Amino acid sequence: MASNSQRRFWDQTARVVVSIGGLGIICAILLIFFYLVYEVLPLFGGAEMSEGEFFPEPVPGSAQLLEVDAASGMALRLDDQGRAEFYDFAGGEPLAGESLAAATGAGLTAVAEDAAGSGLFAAGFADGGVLVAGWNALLEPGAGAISPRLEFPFGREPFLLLSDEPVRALALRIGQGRIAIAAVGASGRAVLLEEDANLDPAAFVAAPRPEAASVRRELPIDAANADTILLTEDPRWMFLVSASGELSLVQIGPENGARVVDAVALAAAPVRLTDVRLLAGGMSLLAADSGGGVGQWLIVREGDSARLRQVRRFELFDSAVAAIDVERDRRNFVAIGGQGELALVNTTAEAESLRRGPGGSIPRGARAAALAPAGDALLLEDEQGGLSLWRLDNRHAEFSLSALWTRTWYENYTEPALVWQTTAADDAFEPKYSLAPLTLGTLKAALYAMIFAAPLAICAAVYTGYFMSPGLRRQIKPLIELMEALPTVVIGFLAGLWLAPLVDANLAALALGALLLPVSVVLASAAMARLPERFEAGLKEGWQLPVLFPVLLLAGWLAWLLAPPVESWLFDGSLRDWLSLRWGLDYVSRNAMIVGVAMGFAVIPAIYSIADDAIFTVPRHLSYGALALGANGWQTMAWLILPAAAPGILSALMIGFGRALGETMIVLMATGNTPIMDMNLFEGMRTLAANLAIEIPESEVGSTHYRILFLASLVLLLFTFVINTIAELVRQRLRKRYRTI
Amino acid sequence: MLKSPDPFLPLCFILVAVVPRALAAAEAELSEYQAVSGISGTLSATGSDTVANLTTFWAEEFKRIYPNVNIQIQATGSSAAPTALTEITANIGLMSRNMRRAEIQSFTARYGYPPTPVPVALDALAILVHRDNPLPRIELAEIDAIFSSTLRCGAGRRIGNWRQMGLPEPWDGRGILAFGRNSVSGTYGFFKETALCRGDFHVEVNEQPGSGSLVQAIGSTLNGIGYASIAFSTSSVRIVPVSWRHAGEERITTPAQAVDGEYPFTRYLLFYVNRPAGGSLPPLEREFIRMVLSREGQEIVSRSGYIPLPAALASESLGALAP
Repeated sequence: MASNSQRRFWDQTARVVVSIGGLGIICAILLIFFYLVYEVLPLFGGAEMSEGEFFPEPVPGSAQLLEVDAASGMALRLDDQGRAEFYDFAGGEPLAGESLAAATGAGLTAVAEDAAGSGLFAAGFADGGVLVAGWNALLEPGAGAISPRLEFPFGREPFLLLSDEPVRALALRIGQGRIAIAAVGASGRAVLLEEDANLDPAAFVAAPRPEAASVRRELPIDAANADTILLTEDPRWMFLVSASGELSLVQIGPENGARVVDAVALAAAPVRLTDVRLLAGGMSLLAADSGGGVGQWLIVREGDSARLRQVRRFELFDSAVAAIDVERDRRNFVAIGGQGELALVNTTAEAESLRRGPGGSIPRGARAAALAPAGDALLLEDEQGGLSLWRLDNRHAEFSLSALWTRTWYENYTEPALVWQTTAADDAFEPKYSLAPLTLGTLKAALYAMIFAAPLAICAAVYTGYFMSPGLRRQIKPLIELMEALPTVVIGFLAGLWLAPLVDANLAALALGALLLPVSVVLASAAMARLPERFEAGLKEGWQLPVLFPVLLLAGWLAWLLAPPVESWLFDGSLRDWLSLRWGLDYVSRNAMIVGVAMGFAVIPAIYSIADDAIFTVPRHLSYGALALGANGWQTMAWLILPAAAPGILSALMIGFGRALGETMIVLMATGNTPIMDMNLFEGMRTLAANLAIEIPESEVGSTHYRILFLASLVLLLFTFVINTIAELVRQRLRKRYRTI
Repeated sequence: MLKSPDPFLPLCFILVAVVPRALAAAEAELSEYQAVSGISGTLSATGSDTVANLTTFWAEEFKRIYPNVNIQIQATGSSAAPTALTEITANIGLMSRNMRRAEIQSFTARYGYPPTPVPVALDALAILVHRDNPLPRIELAEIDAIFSSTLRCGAGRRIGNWRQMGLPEPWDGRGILAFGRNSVSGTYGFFKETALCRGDFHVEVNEQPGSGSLVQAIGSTLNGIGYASIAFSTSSVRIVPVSWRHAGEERITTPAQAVDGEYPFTRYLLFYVNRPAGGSLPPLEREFIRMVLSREGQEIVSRSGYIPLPAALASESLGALAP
């Protein structure tokens, strides 16, 4: 009795332990899945905006410039009299202001901001002078909390751009070691001043040159119509915008060269132009109009020249767009409508992350807007001069599903493209998140690996599972499975550093070998079949293979020997150049072929092992029956064994394919990781898995880049999931169908 | 050859402008390192493989002086340094480019003060080709035309084969195979900013995980071209002089001229440390940096193929670090 209850106890315990183990595995897999989803979900969240903080009293005059610092909750407003006032939303009162105009005596006539949110701006005066000033809160983040004030990094002495002529339009660009100021005078003459300077406190490039090089030149263009001018960051291009909505693109050349290369109309009557801005990075222009739309214009290169092109248009409101403003680093802009509408848009992703309809809490008749540099706050000025501050949470604006999968027109590109390029050393870089090349690369690598591995593994399985004697099979099979123990990093290393150069140097010989080897095998088999009886008897005992070896060696040697003459005779001396010139196939030494071979090598054991078991477990009496009925070995194998083992072979192939999809180290090391959209056998690829390995260490935790990488891993998981599911379904089908035999 | 005006050359020369000035004042000699007592513990450094290369030699010297010190160096790439420094998985961030604003911000958000950069050596990026490649020189716009898809430095169209570079038989039939670093590397970012004028790399530029493997790849690829720090250059590759125009006259410069401020792709190698505002560094880190900026430390720099810091700048950063 005691032993019986003991048995029951152990039975129960074992059941519980096994159940816990099984459930644990399922839980672990689900947890991984949920974790991935959890990391990815915030991408889809859109933006959030808190209720506005309204500044108690309206302020007089109209704003020429608005800036906001999210950290300190302070705003800078420069009015048309040249007075800079600071507003502290937490304290609710204006702080001591400064007057720019007082410094020069002449009246303020034009104001221009450097890159949005940089905190630097230029003020042009009636006497032709230009003063560059900055707000300390934005110049040195954190400092604004103490006391906001204006700083004059180039001194309080104005730059004299136009002598005795009011500045009508102004543009400023500071960065990359210099300052560039462009000004248009009342008479329509345009002047550009460039000076070496470095203001970036973050960059360790020390101070400006002691003998600062300064070049002031008149631009030989007619800017009589220009009411707004904008400079790109280079500055190689200048936009001239007239109040009526004409846009001219000026290419600024060396020495005194400058010419108008293109002119377009930003708005056709009756639609009026209401606001223009340069997007972060300074290479594309946003034009808002009274029709409620915002267009994005790019400079598209055409040989040595360029043209303007509207690549995107956002139809935002039913009424006019009153004002727009952009972020400092990301391609985000905010648009304000006259009826209290608001939209927050990312141009690259072509996605709206936030929208407020008319009649909401946004004040009606807003006439100016300012986004904080990082896009975490918005400052609005309404008709009565009332200021309000709105906090924003808009972290993942750069993400949209369409930008992930469809062709996108990026800045500086001549056409829409599928590009994966996520990092750069500069902040205003436009990240390019297209998963298409990575997905294609993943499939390409797995496909070429399977082309190499599947025939070899299945043939090997047929041979050991059906033809080989069970005794020999017991020794051979573990040997092949031992291949799996080889770390993939070693295979990748060998493929990249040894195989790739070797194939590169002997491409013709290998191509010839790939042709000669199968032919020689067929020929040798045919010869063996015609051998006199007494030889054949000796070969029957499984000696076919050793006899083939010298034949194979001979064929290989022949291929190597024949390659140079064949190459010079058929391919003009070099197969690589011939491929590239004749067929347009570029040969890259670390290519899909190398990956196919190396990864094929890694998946062969997995496919072989399962396929061999499937073939071996087909009941022997079936084949004996077939043979007894007069079928020969080949017929039995092809018409009986293979169909019966098909479910197993199929799942072997699918497991191999799934493994090839997720394989990282081999692709990482044996290719150049080029994210190309091309199935060319002789070029490389970048796979989802390798991309994760490369970019996860550098991506900031919680950033859009980081989450998109998680999304990529989710896509990878989905791939293997779908493939395994299909494999399982097909396997069930086949099993049902062949159950009768 | 490409006809390029190179009007926007100064773009590449932010740094160059600084070097001669610093050199002019660099008459003062660097002082020898004076060991102090009571230094022990573990120092970990993460980041750029270019800087890690150097740091290994410094670590050897440092361990010779202080046997009780354990130094761990991880070479992944510059972009790993800010994360490691912020998450305190490293005491020293090794970088071959300046930190980006976003990187500084995420550090500042955690600690309330920015990370402190310390320049430790000068480096020049060499344009490398296979040793048999006869290319006499390369222009700035041509470099952009080979490596970028955006052509922001003024070239009219992309260059895809050696014929466009004016090479004779048998090179004129060969395509150009461009090699670059992967995006975690500071060399990648620096090259993108200076040589590509902030453009984008072409998708067909083969990415290599390290500068060593890049040089090795070019050495084994006849039609290859790439860029790496001069210290990684081997006999299997050849350094191509870079030519640029200033006021209509052409100048052909090699990385050896980096110290004169003539070579366009010159940069600082930097340590980033977590030094509280107004506070001082822990003794171990302080002594390591003092050793690096001493005469011995800078001799190691020139021995390992990089360019020592001008003495004035070295003592300036030493002074800035003093409590």
